[in-house]
Amino acid sequence: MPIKAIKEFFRNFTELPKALRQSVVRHDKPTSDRARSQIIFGNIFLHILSTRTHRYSLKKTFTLGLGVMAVSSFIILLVTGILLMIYYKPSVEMAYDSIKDIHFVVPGGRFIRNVHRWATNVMIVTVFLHMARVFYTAAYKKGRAFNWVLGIILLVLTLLLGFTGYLLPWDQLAYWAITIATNIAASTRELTDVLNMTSYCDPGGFIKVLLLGSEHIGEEALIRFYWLHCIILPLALIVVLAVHLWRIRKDGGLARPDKLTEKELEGTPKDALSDKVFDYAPEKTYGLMCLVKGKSPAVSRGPEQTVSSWPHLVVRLMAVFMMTYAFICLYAFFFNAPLKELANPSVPENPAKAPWYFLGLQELVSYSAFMGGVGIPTLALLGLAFIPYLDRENQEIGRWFDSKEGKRAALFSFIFASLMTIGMLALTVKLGWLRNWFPHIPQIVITFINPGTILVLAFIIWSFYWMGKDNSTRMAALALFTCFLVAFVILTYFAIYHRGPNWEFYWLKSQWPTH
Amino acid sequence: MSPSAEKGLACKPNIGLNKKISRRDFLELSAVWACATAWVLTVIGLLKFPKPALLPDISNKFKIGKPEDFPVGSAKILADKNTVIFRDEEGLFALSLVCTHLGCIVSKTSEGFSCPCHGSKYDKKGNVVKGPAPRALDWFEISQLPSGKLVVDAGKRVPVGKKYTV
Amino acid sequence: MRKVVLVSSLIVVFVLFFEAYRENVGDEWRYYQKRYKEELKKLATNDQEKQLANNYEIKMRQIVLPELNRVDRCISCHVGIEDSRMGDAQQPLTVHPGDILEIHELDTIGCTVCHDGQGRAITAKEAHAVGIPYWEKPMLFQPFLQSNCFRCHNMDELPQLMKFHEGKKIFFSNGCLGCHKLEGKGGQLAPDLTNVADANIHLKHPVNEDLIRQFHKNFNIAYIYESVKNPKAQPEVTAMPSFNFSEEEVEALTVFLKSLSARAVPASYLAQKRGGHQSEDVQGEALFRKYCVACHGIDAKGGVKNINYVKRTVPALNTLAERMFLAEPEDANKAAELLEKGVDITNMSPELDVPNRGRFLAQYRAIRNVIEKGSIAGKEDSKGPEPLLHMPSWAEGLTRKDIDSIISYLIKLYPWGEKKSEENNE
Repeated sequence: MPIKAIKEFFRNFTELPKALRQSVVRHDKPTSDRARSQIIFGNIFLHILSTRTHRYSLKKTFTLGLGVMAVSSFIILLVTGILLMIYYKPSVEMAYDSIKDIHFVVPGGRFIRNVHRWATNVMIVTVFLHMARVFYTAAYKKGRAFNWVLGIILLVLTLLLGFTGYLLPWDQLAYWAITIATNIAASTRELTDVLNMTSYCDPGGFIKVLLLGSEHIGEEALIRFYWLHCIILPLALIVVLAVHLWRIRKDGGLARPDKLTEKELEGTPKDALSDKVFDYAPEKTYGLMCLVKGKSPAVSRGPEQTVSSWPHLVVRLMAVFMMTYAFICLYAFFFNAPLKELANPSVPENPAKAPWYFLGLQELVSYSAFMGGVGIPTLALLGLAFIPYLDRENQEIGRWFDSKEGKRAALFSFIFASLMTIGMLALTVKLGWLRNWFPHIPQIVITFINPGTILVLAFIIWSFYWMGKDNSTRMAALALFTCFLVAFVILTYFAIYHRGPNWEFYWLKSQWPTH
Repeated sequence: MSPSAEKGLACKPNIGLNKKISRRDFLELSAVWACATAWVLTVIGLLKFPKPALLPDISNKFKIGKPEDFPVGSAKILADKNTVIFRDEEGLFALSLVCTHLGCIVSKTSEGFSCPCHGSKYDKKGNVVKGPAPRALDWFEISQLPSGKLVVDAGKRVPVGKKYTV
Repeated sequence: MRKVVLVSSLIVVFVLFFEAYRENVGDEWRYYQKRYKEELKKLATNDQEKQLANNYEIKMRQIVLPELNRVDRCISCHVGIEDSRMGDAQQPLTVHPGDILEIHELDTIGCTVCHDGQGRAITAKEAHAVGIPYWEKPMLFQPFLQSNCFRCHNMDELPQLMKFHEGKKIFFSNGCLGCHKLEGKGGQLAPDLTNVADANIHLKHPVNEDLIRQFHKNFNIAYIYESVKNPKAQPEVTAMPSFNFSEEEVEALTVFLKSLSARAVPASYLAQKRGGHQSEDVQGEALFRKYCVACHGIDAKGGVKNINYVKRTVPALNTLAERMFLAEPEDANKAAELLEKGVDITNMSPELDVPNRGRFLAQYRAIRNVIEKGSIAGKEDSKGPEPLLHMPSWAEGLTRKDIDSIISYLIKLYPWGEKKSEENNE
């Protein structure tokens, strides 16, 4: 009798669950710092993180967890989006009905579709706020310039994802929003017409046909938007995001000031090694993993003010993820994603509004299609992208508004921009614009002289004023960025709540003429 | 005697009754379990998603007429539904004409049914008499609307031999 | 941090639990099907029925209609719709009234093709779609259920739809087609009514809020009703006169107008030979009532106001005989008969035995010209607004024979009796 083998077999059989678990998670609960590092280091998903994280990076009031919120909502969007693809049919005849079926007869369909829709809003808001945070803490400096540019690219990709998804339900909202958007893309005609170039050079018309696959919005457009929304844009976003996160590692972690007081690190976790300063050569070393630019832990000095990423960073990532998830779940439970009537090409929505994140643009477009839809956005994006190249002042990074002077610049710019934006809006609402006063004025004049361009000019002059006043490019950047941010928010809010049918001004939605 | 045996217990209790779990560890444990539960519930929800509550297919139930349309001893083939309706003294019964081997449509013969694809043969009640078919032809549930109309449910099987008495 | 994880996770757990409850326990249809199952068990008279009752599955139900591109899930709640024993049951378990389902097989026709509503929905609120602005065809209610029969039926074969036929009669005898078009025939001054039942509810919306309530938030029905009952409601400067119909007449007309929808069923669903609403009328009086009466008045008495028109009101036409120099009733009748027969009187046929033949013919030509080519309404005040009504051209809508029939009818309308007594009184 092969006693040994039989005994072994039974022992293996009864220990199967434990052995299975141990083969997947090949370590016990960590009791040493090295063990904690190994958890991070040995896991394919976690090893994008550094094994030790600086305490300042974990400061709630520093990052507000905004980047993590954006990634969390993106993950939620990926998961729900992939599932929705099981039922959604990208055909003009079937799209609308397929969404109705998802809502009514698919288990969890209503909920998952709602999650997908509201997670979009969360992602866009957090991406904007994250950009603001990075800007205000000057975290685009000290070698982080290109990462900022990648971030701007991610912003554009996020907006495009929202925009392409918007068409898919093929309802009145979708159809007319895309009508406006594609005509904005074609609005370069405003310029080429004046220059009599359109017949041989029509970039606007070209882009429009490329987007729509046809002269009109129909099945071709739906398929292209579906293709962009499900394959091209998510892939692009994931790749750029990977580079974006990788670069944070190569930069030595999140931006932080060189000199930090213990008070500034209040509220962040601390572990045994945080204050340690090694003064002896350690017996064991890790192999050289990589060269990190900037201030990295030097040999013979302790890992100052860092804590083990496991559990401190990981638990915070989990917390932010679950917070984002919980918020979206609550919203999805109570509020249904909108779905209006089936798209009807002969009955325009009035008002026909783009998705909310484009409404600020739409307000500018109401003055000039080209300037508001192409000119100013391009200028703004280029301006944003070039910030780290135009402001290369050496300064301490990682502090909101840098200093008292910075706070002042931001505050005054906030006031200035609010007054200017609200003022311009009030003026156009009350008195109209050039065409109201000079009915025969050529369009090209309005293209270049309209509330949008005037605001842009005013902001640029304002920021140059600050540059001169404080002799600092950073101050100019603070002023300009704040002006644009404030104007963007005010215009978006205004176009959401105060523009009604025929893009007329209304104080309240209840005042809209019913029909 | 072991301490637990002294107390009259069969084995050592797992919870250290004298050791209080610290508040911090309790928080940690409940956070982990709550998070895990949330994820498990999420995954269950996601797994339920691919099967809709209603399949977009035309219903399996179809009306075949009134009992008078099926005199005793008759056999009516409904070709578009791949079903044959029989009536004898005991009642009505509906047989599927889909071969239980690999789904070809069987033809009616004098002895029963025969499948052209792989030669399966069935008797008049649908029982397999020859060939690779693993089981008898399906018998479908017959019911009757209060108005008298007969309804065959091709989605519900009844045991071979169960007839519907009118 | 752990607290945040705990609290957020618990929120997620609770939300998911509530959602699961909503979908698996708390659905409306589940409750009704459970009640129906109880009824089935109670009503079972033998073992066979008892077994079927016990085996009754509680699940969502639908009727898939690929040819109609519809899916109707009404039967998830309306489970007793074919169960004749459920006559006394409470809605939604009641059986379908009448014997409609005997003729209209539920499995091939479904529900929404007759009743409208949002078939794909699974709750009463969204399926009935009452007051849900994104669903343009909410569930209909009587008597408007008669309107949808037009989708498949030739309405002449369904005389029992009394409201519909009453409305149709009113439509064709009040000159509506004088301004409106229907199926390609009619006037050009007013909107085409061929698909008025499909009018977009945002563009064609009633002004009177009470009507919306009266018609259970069916905006289309309320709009049609308002247009007929009170044309001046919108737009205020409308040329459409008020016809002062009674309530029943307005309702009947609305039922008829609500049937004017683009037929969206495939040929296999059509009941009998397709007919339109229009029938071929040749008789002068019928033509006049169809096309002319709204402006020229019943019995051609005229009187409809035409603002800033030099003659103030649309002219009466019953004095045509006098205008055409037909002094005696016998002459008028002779001329009318000739026109009725379709004789071409312009080539001076000897049958045209009337005095003042030349002047009669000149008048006839002039009148025919006005009808065929139309005529602009002269302004009373040249600086004032354009009169809303003018005579449209009918050359494309009416044949020469039609026009002759109409003229013949108008000639015969002359009030000889009155004129004689007037003369006598002088």
